[in-house]
Amino acid sequence: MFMTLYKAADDKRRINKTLLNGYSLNDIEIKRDTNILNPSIIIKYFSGVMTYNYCFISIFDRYYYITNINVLSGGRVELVCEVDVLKTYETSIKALSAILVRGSVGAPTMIIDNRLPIKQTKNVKTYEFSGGDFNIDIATKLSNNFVLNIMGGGASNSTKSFGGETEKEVV
Amino acid sequence: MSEVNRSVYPLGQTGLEGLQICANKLNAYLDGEPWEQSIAISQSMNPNAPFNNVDFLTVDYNGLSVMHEHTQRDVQKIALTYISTGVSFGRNQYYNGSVDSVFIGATNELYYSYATLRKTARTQFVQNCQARYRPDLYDLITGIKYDSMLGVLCVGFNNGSEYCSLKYYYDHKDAELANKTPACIFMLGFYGNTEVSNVRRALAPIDLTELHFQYWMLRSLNPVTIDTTFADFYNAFPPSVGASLNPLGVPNNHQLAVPINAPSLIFPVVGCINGTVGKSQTWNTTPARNSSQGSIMYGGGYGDMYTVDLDFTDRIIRPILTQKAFDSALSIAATYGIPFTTEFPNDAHNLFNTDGLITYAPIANAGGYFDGRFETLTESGELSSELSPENKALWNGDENSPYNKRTYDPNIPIPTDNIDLTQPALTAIDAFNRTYIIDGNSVDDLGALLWSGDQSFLDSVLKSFELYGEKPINGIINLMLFPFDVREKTGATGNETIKIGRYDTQIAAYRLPTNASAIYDFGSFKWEREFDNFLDFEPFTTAELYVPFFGMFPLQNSHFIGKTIDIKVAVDFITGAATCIIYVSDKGIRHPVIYKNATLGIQIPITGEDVSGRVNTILNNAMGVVPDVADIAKSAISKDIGGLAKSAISAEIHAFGADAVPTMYQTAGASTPECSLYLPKKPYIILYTPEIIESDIYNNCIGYATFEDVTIGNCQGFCKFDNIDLSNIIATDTEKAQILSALAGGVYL
Repeated sequence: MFMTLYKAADDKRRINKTLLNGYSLNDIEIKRDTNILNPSIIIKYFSGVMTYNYCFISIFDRYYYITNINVLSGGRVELVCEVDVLKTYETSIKALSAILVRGSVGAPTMIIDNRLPIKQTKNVKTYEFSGGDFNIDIATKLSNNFVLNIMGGGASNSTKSFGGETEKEVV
Repeated sequence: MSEVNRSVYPLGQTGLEGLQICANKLNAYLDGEPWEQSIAISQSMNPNAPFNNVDFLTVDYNGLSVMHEHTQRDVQKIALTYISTGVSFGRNQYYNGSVDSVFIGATNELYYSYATLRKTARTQFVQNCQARYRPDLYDLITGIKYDSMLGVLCVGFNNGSEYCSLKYYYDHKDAELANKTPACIFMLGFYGNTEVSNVRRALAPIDLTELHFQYWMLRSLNPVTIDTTFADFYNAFPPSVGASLNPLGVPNNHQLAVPINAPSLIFPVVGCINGTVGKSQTWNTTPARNSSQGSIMYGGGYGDMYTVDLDFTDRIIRPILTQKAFDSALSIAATYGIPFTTEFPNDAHNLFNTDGLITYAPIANAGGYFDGRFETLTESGELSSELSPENKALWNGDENSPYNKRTYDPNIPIPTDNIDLTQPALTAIDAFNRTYIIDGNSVDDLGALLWSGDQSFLDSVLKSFELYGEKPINGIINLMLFPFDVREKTGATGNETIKIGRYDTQIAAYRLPTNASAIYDFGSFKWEREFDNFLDFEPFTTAELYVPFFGMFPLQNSHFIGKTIDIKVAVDFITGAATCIIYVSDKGIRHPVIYKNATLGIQIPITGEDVSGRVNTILNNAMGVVPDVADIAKSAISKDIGGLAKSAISAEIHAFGADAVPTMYQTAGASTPECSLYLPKKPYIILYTPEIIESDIYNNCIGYATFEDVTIGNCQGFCKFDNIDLSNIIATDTEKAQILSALAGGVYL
């Protein structure tokens, strides 16, 4: 079994982490009970061991954060590890289909985003319509804006002008 | 042989120049210039060869000759077609796989070119056409006008080896061939015909998953334009009666290449189908296979396919089509406004018997394009008003147009695209009253006349009202002031004098006719999106619309944003009442959304009773509250936002919107339209838009809300996921839970 120590500066939430300065420890043996997800590995102290924060354990085939380093007697250190599922299953995770509900690429969409900070104040904008048939503001005495409705007869109503004709006698 | 005059026009380097010449000729003809020439075609042998020339030939109608070269006829209708590339069908790449040619030609006559063709064939063809006259179908289709004959819509596919031709027919009858008016294409049915390279294959059912729209296109003849992007014309060829109409002007067995991968090509081909082929007797039963067989397509070009005994009603080769292919073809044809029937007789002898057929004709929308609706024609071919020539459907060439419906079902109702106000033929105006339009001077004159101190005048007026037994002043129903020039819109032209009862006041006025237009335009506005995201909608952005005389309208943004709002008002000139109609239109679809009533005409009091009555009405309404506006606003907006938010799956998108209900101002009291004269005269819209707190790292730390189906590996940056299926990950349950938690909480890629 081998173990490779790394220095990882990426955010824990990054899937495709960049692992630097790999330091391999070969011939690692499991000599006591441990946990595949949270193993503790005791190794011989070496200069610089304290600077590593990440590792890969081949027998477990997993990547781990080194969450703590305990200094033991006899020139040994204990590396307390916690599995990094994102890096361990990076390839499989990337192949997954899912619904993206938030993303840094793009812009606000038609989906309501309750986390988008907006101010309480509002901008007020007024837009006037174009066109229209009103003329009342510029109408004059010659403008035909008046409608006069008169009783009687409709289109065929006959009239007579005042004077000149014999009136029909009304009985 | 009759003398042929020929004009040759050298065309230049490209076929498009030649097309332009032809198009100019055609347009001139459509503009009424006499057409005395037929246009033959030219051809080059490869798509990159220059277009050499076009022969313009004059023809003699009676110059029917049996010769080895083609016989020309008077061209009475022409169209254009253009093939950019093509593969000759049937033959084995006769033209080395490509032909670049332009051909123009159409006649109302048969055009055939083989010595073996009998003269009588033509006569019989014409007689057959005459027997199926359907003048009621004239002008159903814009620009697709033929004097007779069949047509074929050719559809190409990109499978590289097959195509399907859709033949449409129309029937036509005219006692005098020379006098017949332009008929139109009426699709009695269609059939597909594959041109395949071997007989066995041709006999198999045509199983087409899709008719590729982009391979054919139909454009109106009038006017003919050349789209330099891709040439799309249609060609009305004369019927080639089995023999090789050779549009190339070259006799013998040249084939007209059919573009398989060419863009936008349609051939309405005038041709006929014949049961007897001079060379092969198997034509009847075998789909068109090669030049020795088959139906006429593409203007002929079956070099050695010819007809000895022309029988227009003979059997038609009808290969088997899948239902999907059938539906696709019919849908495409329908987008061109071509009437059609879905009942296609198996017996070709009944092909042109249209009695009893249920036929459908597409209906055009206001823009003139097929809008997906169909009208069923009666057996007698009577047309509805929608199928008048003014409603002929066009095709706008845009595959993505909402008017190019790809599917159809005459039994499924299709939404109406346009609901507009109509002009009634009869109104209350001028029915038992007289309505005058007058100006301010006439008002003054009328007032002076009515209140005149001239006793003799008053006596005359009283006498003239004896018939009514009424006070003269009561002859006046009302006098109203409108905020627009009434005469301008109504078009009232009748210059008269005002007559009250039987008394002519001699005061000038315009008489308002009963069918006067009472619809006024209050303007329009295109509401553009400011944010182009959810911030454009309630409750983040709210909007109110002010309409003069009608007040404020709260708007539901989703109904109006991104669209054009226009306001029409229908006015009652007798009472002064009006109805405001707020329209929304987008991409040619326009419909009314809001109706509101108000009083637009300002009543000018004539008597003391008038004034007191109005004042009482106003005072009585003063304490009233108008609840409808506010209530509508609240219920609509709140409901929509809540519904929208809660339907989302992710907890990231919660019912934020439902918490924020816009404040609506309730209106109270009643006012007179006179007050509105002092208010703004143009409608306006008020938008209350939010201010965003800008953050450079928002997207990297929080991310924009979205909802997309993705593959995680294809994403970048900060991402949150939901609905993740971990089936393919072999890990412990604890690890899977950690993966889900990490992805839901956000990861970086």
